Amino acid sequence: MQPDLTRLNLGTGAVQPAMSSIHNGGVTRSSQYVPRQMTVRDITKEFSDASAELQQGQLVKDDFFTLFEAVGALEIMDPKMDSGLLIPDKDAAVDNFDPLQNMLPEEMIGIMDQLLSFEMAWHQGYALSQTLFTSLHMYSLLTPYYRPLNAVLFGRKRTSPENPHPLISSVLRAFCLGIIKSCDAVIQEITSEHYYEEEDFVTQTFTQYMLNDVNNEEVITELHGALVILDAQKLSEDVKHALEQRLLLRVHLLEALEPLSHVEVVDKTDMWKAVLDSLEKVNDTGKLGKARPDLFSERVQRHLASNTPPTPMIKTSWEEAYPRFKRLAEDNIEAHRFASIEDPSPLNVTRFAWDFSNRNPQPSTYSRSVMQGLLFKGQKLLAQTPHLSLLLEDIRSLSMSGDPLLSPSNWEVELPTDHRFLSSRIIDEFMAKALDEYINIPRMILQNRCRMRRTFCQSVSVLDGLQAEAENADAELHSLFPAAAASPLETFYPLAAWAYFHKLRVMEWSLQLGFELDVYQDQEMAYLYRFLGFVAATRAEHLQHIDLYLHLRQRKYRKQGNAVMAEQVASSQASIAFLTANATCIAEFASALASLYALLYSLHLIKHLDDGEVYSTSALRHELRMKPYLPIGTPTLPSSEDMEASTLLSPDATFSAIITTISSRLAAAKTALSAWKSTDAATGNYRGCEKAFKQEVQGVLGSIVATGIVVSLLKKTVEECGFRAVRDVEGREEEVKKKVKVEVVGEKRYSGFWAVPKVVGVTN
Amino acid sequence: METSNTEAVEYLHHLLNKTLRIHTSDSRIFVGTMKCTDRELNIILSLTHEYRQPSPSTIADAAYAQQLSGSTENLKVDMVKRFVGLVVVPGKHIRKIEVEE
Repeated sequence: MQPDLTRLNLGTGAVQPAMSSIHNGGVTRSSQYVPRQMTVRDITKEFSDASAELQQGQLVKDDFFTLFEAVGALEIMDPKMDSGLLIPDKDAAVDNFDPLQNMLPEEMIGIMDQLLSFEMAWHQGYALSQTLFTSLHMYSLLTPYYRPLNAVLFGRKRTSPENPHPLISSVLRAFCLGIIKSCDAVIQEITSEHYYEEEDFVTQTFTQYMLNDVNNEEVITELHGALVILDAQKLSEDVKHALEQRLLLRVHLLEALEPLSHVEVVDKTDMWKAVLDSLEKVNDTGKLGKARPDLFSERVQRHLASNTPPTPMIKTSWEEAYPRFKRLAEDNIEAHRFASIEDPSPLNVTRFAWDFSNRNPQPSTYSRSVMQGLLFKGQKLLAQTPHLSLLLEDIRSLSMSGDPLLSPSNWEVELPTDHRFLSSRIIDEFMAKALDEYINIPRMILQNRCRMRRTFCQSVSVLDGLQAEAENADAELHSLFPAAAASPLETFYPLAAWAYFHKLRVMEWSLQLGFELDVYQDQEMAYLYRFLGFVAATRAEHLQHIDLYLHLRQRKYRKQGNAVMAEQVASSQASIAFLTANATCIAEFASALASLYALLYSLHLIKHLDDGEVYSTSALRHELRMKPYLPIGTPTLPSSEDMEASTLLSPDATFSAIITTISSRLAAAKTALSAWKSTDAATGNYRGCEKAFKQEVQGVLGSIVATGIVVSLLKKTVEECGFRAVRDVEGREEEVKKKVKVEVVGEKRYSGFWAVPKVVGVTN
Repeated sequence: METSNTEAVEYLHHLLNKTLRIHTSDSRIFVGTMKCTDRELNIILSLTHEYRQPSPSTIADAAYAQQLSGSTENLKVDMVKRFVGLVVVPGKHIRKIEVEE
């Protein structure tokens, strides 16, 4: 290249500073491609001499290269870091491996089952390099380069038998191809939705060709071909049956794993049922298999493009994998059940997402991606209902039911000066701003539990900003229709009311997930349940505030004799009554628990905060726990002092008064719960979620009852000790500890959100 | 002493961000962009590819395949190449350093 340029330069006779651009755009463009002449010079001596001149600790480095990055460099020749290091006796197994060597059909069953187990381990979050790719058979089918399907074969070695056995060259090959394509489909599905790489799932393929250009059907054809070949083999019936079931399982999996499309939702319930059916048969025939651990080796990592240190091969077995496989199929069937809910309301959608995510154990990343896909693909529910209409319906049903501002005819007005034209524009603009964060709510619910809590915390301030936007939009709407605003009471802000509701709910969730994930220390429980009670009570009040306006509207429609609109408003009110009961129950129960924890604290049954700890002042603790909520405008958060005052019991407080308060709170929670429980599915927005709804109610009820039992035990203890007020405990802590102790803050809970302390009597 | 240090630094500096080929004691070759070095001749390369001699069994298999096909040409087996990213090659394992120009 260099000589070319010089000649060009000479030819023009002028100095051309930008030679390369001339070169590219000029005369030589049409000339044949000349490969770059690369010269390589040995600089071993110069380099080592120069580096010897450096002082101890002196580095010569690129200015843009940081030492922080340097820490991430893999050290060559270090067995823990360098996956390419030779270990001759172990590597021989990989290098000399002959995929076509004969084996017993029973051993093939064993290999297939091991592969299926690895597939599940991968789904669980391990890398392919420590699971499926450790199979030497998989290793010999995989390369980084594209090849047509018929060229993806077990390569012939000098040790290979003259005529490779069709069980290997066809049956095992087809099975492995099925795995590769399944992995590809799973990666496609997961990466098209929201997930956390490495935390949830590892999509890394180490640049191996995963049959990306091949359709699922083509691989299914290979599998069917293998089934025909298998049928022609002379084998004992049970072994043949076992191999057949494994091939069929792969066929069903490939059908079920076909990535979701943006335009049309295919109901995969039956496909996953077929998978379940096959799984059972595979499980029944598993004992026929013989393990061949020598055909799996983590040393294949030496051949994988990877900037990670070597990782150990996972130990797993079919016994572990089978229940997981079943869960995968069941979770997917459950996800597709969403389609059976006819015309779900927006709150119903969120409810379904919660119930799906609450399944125990939590559905795998793949299943959660499928659920996300069904809800969000193409910005539509089930590729049908646009998210924007979902948002509009949510606003309507919550705070704008029967509001003439939402009359569809407003959107048909074309006169730019008409107030109806303007109002519909304002609402459209607000919805455009709100859509992303609104749809993010169900999306967050489908993440792993820790991320859920984190993103809810982050979402609080975003929703607060949205509430401010909503207030502006509401004010503009008021200025357009001053008459409507002239109500006897203060002006209603329907869009802001909608945003406020969601913000409060997300705040509650973020706190409750904190309890579920054991984020808080025992001493903090009283404090945080008090705060949860505050947020839930605020939501209950807010809902009643909305209800008041809806009530006025309903009366107006009744007066006008507009029964249809009156009914519409009434049904919104019923839903709001349900939500209010729910918020009230949470508020009352949280307050009861806060008092209970305060009581335990005053009895010295919970470890006291270390007063000598300089970095743990109440102000700092308050700031830490309130951090996600501090930036918000409404509600005004209680100050550190307020919280302290309401959490710590004063020395004069009498135990009888505290216990009476807790009991009445628990009773109020139960009353609210029964109102909540008796609401029908359509009003409560839990259609299609009846089972989970019942479980939830029972979980909360169980937690309330358990709390009641703890309270009566403590009451008995206090009476036995003869304590009247909190100050009486001073100096007599040991007496209490001899009678009762707090075991744990609810290891096994009736409901994850409610951490009821487990208190037991001490038996001497 | 002082001047030779300055010269050494200058020399090594001009090699920064050039493509180096480092041969290691286990006969692998690492080809990557030089980012950093020190007195012990430890070298950090980024965007590195590892090249390895094919294993004896691979060569034997290739020879066998060639024999089956009846070809009499010289046997040619490619080196095995893979991407390994950011690596540090310790000085004590370095046998040869080359620069691509």
